[in-house]
Amino acid sequence: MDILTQWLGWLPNLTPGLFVSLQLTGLSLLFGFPLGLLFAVMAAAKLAPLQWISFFFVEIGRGLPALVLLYLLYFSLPDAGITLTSLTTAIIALTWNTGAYASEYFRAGLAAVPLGQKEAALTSGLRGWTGFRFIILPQALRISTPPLAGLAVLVFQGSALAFVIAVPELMSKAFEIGSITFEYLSVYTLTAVIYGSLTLVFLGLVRLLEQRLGRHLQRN
Amino acid sequence: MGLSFGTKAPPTALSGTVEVSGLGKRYGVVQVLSDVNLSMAEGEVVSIIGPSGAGKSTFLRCLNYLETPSEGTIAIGGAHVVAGGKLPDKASLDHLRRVTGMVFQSFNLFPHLTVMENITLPQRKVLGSSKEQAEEVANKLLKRVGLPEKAMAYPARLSGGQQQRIAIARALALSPKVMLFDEPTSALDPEIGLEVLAVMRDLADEGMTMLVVTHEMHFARDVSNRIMVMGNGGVLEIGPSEQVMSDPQNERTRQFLKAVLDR
Repeated sequence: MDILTQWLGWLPNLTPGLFVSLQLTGLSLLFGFPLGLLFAVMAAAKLAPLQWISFFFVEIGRGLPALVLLYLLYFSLPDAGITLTSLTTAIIALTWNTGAYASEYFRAGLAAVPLGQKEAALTSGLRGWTGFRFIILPQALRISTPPLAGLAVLVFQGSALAFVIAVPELMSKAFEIGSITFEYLSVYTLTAVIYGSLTLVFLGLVRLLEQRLGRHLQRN
Repeated sequence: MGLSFGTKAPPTALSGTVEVSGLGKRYGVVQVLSDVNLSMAEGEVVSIIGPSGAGKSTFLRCLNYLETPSEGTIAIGGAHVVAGGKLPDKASLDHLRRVTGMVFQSFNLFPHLTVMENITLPQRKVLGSSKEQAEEVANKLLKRVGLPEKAMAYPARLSGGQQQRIAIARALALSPKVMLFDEPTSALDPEIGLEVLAVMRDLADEGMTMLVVTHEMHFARDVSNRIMVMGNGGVLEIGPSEQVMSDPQNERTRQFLKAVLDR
């Protein structure tokens, strides 16, 4: 009972942090997924410079730990004359990271669409952007959805790293409470419960989405 | 240039004739097709037969540039392209693919779209038809291939024979002048294949110009006007169906026909 009362008392302090975490995650995914798709398409482009640009951003985004990327942007951007809030900096870092990983999932999805589909699109007059948009992309997205959902969970959990550049997200709020009350274990346990339960709810929603996207494959 | 959403129907009158000359295809140094010539009148049905690796499918796929031929010229229904050197411009390619309809061995229906959407999407994007117009055309075609009740089904729910009939309807929706069939029944068991062959036979009776790569010898003999026998990347012989079947001139043709007919 004691611990529940304690947790309930902390919730008003943690909730604003949770909203910042969700905002950070949401925006990183909102920008990161389209960016990843763009990288994936550029990687398959005929124009070599497009491939190089894609390669450059993807390999840095995947090659550096999110934490390192956060620090690099946080300390280098002001030197370059760009002053951003720590939240914006965190969104940029996580977007880059998300985009880089997402591009690999999109690439896999695009590659998994059978060649015959592209040929059928071509012979049906659906070439270029039209064929891509209506025939190839929807099929690729269905294939990429499960790994992208997994990535979304990782980004949500990775958003806790923004703590190190003073973004007032869930983890930093928990740390604040801990340093005042010295109830570190208790407050981190609550934090774990919050992260864990949100992740489970999200994964449930993804399962529903997958079923919807796979509707056309059901035989009965 | 901006984004192109397909071309509208060309203004010139189209005819269903086919004129192919000196068509060749190389992969690196390997010549898989050489000097193929074919001239077809409107409404004619030609079957292409021959052993595996003869270049039958490659030839057919060169006609709508799913494969890029290395040399020769192709003129189909008002579209004219010259192979070799630079790729033809987009307009010529669009035109070529507009006048040809293709049916694949593996159907290649769009699995994420309903049967209705499979048939209406190309019309809406290529011809700029309204939803109502496109659906009207689709319903007529579905009746024609004997599957009016499947409009709302997804392809995965259909049998192979039904899928192939839908694929034929999809190809017909853009009113092609020449239909190309690439082994349309090879992925089907013999009994199911019959329903597809029946649709093709109707199409031939209605005067569609058809080029059919097939192993169905009865179809080749009874439905097509002429048979083209291919082997080793070239044409072994071509002639009236009855004659090629009963009195083949080429030794390799005789050997092939003996193998497929005496089993």
